[in-house]
This record gives sequence, structure tokens and C-alpha cells, in this order.
Amino acid sequence: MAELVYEIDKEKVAWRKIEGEVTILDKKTAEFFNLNSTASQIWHLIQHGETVESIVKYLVKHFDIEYKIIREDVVSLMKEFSQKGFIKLHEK
Amino acid sequence: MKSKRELSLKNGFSLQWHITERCNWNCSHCYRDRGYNELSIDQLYRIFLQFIQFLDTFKIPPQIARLNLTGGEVFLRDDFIVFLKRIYKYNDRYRLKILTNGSLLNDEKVEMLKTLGVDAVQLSVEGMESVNDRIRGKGTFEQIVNTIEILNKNDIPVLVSVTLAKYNLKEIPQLIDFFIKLEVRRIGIRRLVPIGKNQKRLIDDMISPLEQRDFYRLRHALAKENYACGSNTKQPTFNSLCCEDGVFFQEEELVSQYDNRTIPLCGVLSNRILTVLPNGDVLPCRRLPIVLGNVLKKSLLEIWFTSELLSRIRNPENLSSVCRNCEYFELCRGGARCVSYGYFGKLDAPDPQCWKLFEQLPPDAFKVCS
Ligand code: SF4
Ligand code: SF4
Repeated sequence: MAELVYEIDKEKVAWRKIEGEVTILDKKTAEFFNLNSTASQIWHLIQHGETVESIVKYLVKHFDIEYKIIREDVVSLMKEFSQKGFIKLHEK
Repeated sequence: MKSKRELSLKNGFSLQWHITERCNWNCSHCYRDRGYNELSIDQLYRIFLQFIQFLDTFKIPPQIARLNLTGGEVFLRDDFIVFLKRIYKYNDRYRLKILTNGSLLNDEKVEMLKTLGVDAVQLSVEGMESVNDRIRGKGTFEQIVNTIEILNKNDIPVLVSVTLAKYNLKEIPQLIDFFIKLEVRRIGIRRLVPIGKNQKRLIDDMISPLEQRDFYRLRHALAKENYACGSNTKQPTFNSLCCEDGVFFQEEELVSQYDNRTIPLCGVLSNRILTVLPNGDVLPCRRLPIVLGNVLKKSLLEIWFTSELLSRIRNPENLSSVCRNCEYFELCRGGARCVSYGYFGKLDAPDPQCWKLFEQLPPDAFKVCS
């Protein structure tokens, strides 16, 4: 079965790591969004085509926080990115 | 949100935009070195809107937002005035300056410029009449003087730019005196940057570091007496320095008489300038010919934001350890990036006219400087 992954919409955003954290430029609205260090890591993983599940697993491994909490945080962040149009779902 | 240092444009923003490469003069020092297809007026307008978007994004107040339109010779474009009319509705958002050789200006055109919100016109000279005409062409000095008179009559401030070189070094006081009498608003004495198709000849025309130092001393003395030598006040202020004058900070005693401003002079290092060439290529500065992107493919904002190269050039930590360990580094920041790059072909090299390091220009201009 094909897996669903999020993909960054390069028509919509450009990004760069500044002072260790990712800043996103919304090309359509000319607004900047600074991500904190965890969100920056998640952005990096999305960029590499990781599924939501593998992103969560990666973070669980690296932070001493419960799976459930991390999953909620990741899903909510993905939802926010998605609502802003920064990422799109596609089949892997 | 835009709180990161790199994303701050608190020093304002200035776009130098070359809208044509064509010129009716053939100055032997010109930086123009490529033929470009010119963009249409609609393309120009779209690029102009990118500039406005840039100002909007960073909420840059009009007093420190600048658009400098230049060429080649801008008035060779038949649609230049039409273009000025088209952008006029945004005129309260920035200061507009036109850099021209002035040869195609007449009373009628200058009156028109006045109604189109042009804040200043900049003309270049190379020296007094014989020196100037040798480089820019016979009769050009007289034309420049005529243009200044027309602009003065119409109350458009005139800025005169002179590039300091071996052949005009001695006549600088005479030149300042001459243009003060002509009531120009400002005389900017700029460093010679060895780039473009005439690079080798330009290197031969560069003055030595010690001559550069003596010139700064002279200019300082003249600036105290003459308002036009750098700024329109009677005292030397920070604004009376040109962007390439970082090495001047070695003259501590003189510098202490200037306004206590600490932003680096170089517009690239202080993150306040970009240049667009006639084909849409974007450079950090016209005198630092490194292409960062093209505005036909990406917006000015996106190029400015995403260019790793630009970010690397701006970061003082990437400059040579010779400079980083120097007591003047905080203010000098390695001197003029453009002169160093033109001379050494390296972005991190110190200024070849730094008299702390060199008495004479380092012998091999293209030798890598460690
Ligand atoms: S690169 Fe040179 S001309 Fe350009 S802003 Fe810096 S010092 Fe000035
Ligand atoms: S060594 Fe470098 S930083 Fe120091 S004055 Fe010379 S150019 Fe400037």
C-alpha cells in the first residue's frame, strides 16, 4: 500500500537555516516564519520525504518525551504547515 | 517575527538598477563588460513591483528607501520617461535618484524630471577638463557643466561622483573648489574598483595605500571647510564618508571628530543594498560582480533571502584572519569588499589599499592573499 507523505510546496515557500533555525519565506504573501529548533528539525525531515510516523519515531528516539505527546505535536504542526499551504500530501 | 539579525533591514535599503547597458559615451574606465538584451517596459514594471514588495515586507520608511536608476545611459531608452510616469504613483515610498552622464538632458527633460519626483541626479567626472575628457571623451566636461547648470536652474540637487586615481589625485582640491562654485549638493570621492573589461588598466591607475591615507587626511581637512566634500554640512559627519572608506577608521584621531555611528560603511556588509543589471541579474553591489540570481526567475526578496553566497559575503567571520585580528576590524570590516575582490579575486582578502598592511600596492594583483 502506498504511504502518504507530506511534500514541501516549493512554489509557495523558500527557506533557509539562519542562526541554527529554519526561517520560511511565504513567497505568495512575502511573510517570514521563524521555526524553533524542534520545528526546524521536523521541517528538515519533511524535506527528506519522511512519513509522519517516521518523524514521530525519530523525535521519540531523540527526546525523552512520550510517543503520544510527540505525535500530537507533530500532527498539529503538520496541520498548521498544511493550512498555510507550505506542504502538500502526496503518495510515496 | 523577522527578528533575526540577518533579516533586519534597520539601516534602510537601496536598489541600484541598471535598466540599459547601452551608452552614447565610451569611457575608458567603464565597468560595462557584457551585451544584454534589454527588458521590456512591462518587465521593468514587474521588477519595480518586486522592489516595492521588498520595502513593504521590511516596512522600510521612505527616508531610507532608495531607488537609483542608471545604465549605461538611461536616457537612451525611449521609454524611460514613460517608465518614470508609470512608477510615479509609488513615489512617496522611496527617494529616487538618477545616475546619468547628462548628455541627453535638456531644459524640457529636466522640467519633466522635476514633476516625476526625481530627488537627485548624479553625474560622474574623472578630473578637471583635460583629464576628464581624456577618459570620457572630448567635450564631455563642458557637457557635464552645462547639465549641472540646467539641473540647478530647475532646483534638482546635483551629486558629483569622482573616482580617485593616479591621474586625478593632485587636482582633487581644484576639482572640489570648481564644483563647489557650481553649487553641487555633494561631491563623493570614490575608490577605484578594478573590475570589468578594463580591469588591468584600472589596477595600473590605482593609487598606493599611503597615497590613499594622505588623500583621506586631505579630504578631512577640506570637508571641515567645504560643505560639498562628502556631505551638505560644514562638519565632517559619518555621512560624508563613502561606503568604501572602511580603512579610514585607522585614522583614529580624525574619526573621533565624526558622528559616533558604528554601522559598517560597506552596503553589502551592512545588508542595505542590491543591484539589478539590465538582464535582471542581481548582484550584491554593482562593484561586486557576483551574480546571486535573476529577478525574472525569482523575486528580489527571494534572492535576497535564499542566497547562501550573499549571506556568506555579509558575514564578517568569513573575512581574512589578518583583518579579524586587527584593532580596527569592528569599524573597518576589511575595508572595501569590491576593491579587495577586484584586486585579489578573493572575497575574504583585506583591502589592498590598507596602509596598516601595505605601503605600496601588493605586487601581484591576482596573487592569492593569505
Ligand atoms: S562593495 Fe564596494 S561599492 Fe559596494 S557597498 Fe561595499 S564598499 Fe561600497
Ligand atoms: S587590516 Fe583589515 S580590518 Fe585592519 S585596517 Fe586593514 S583592511 Fe581594515
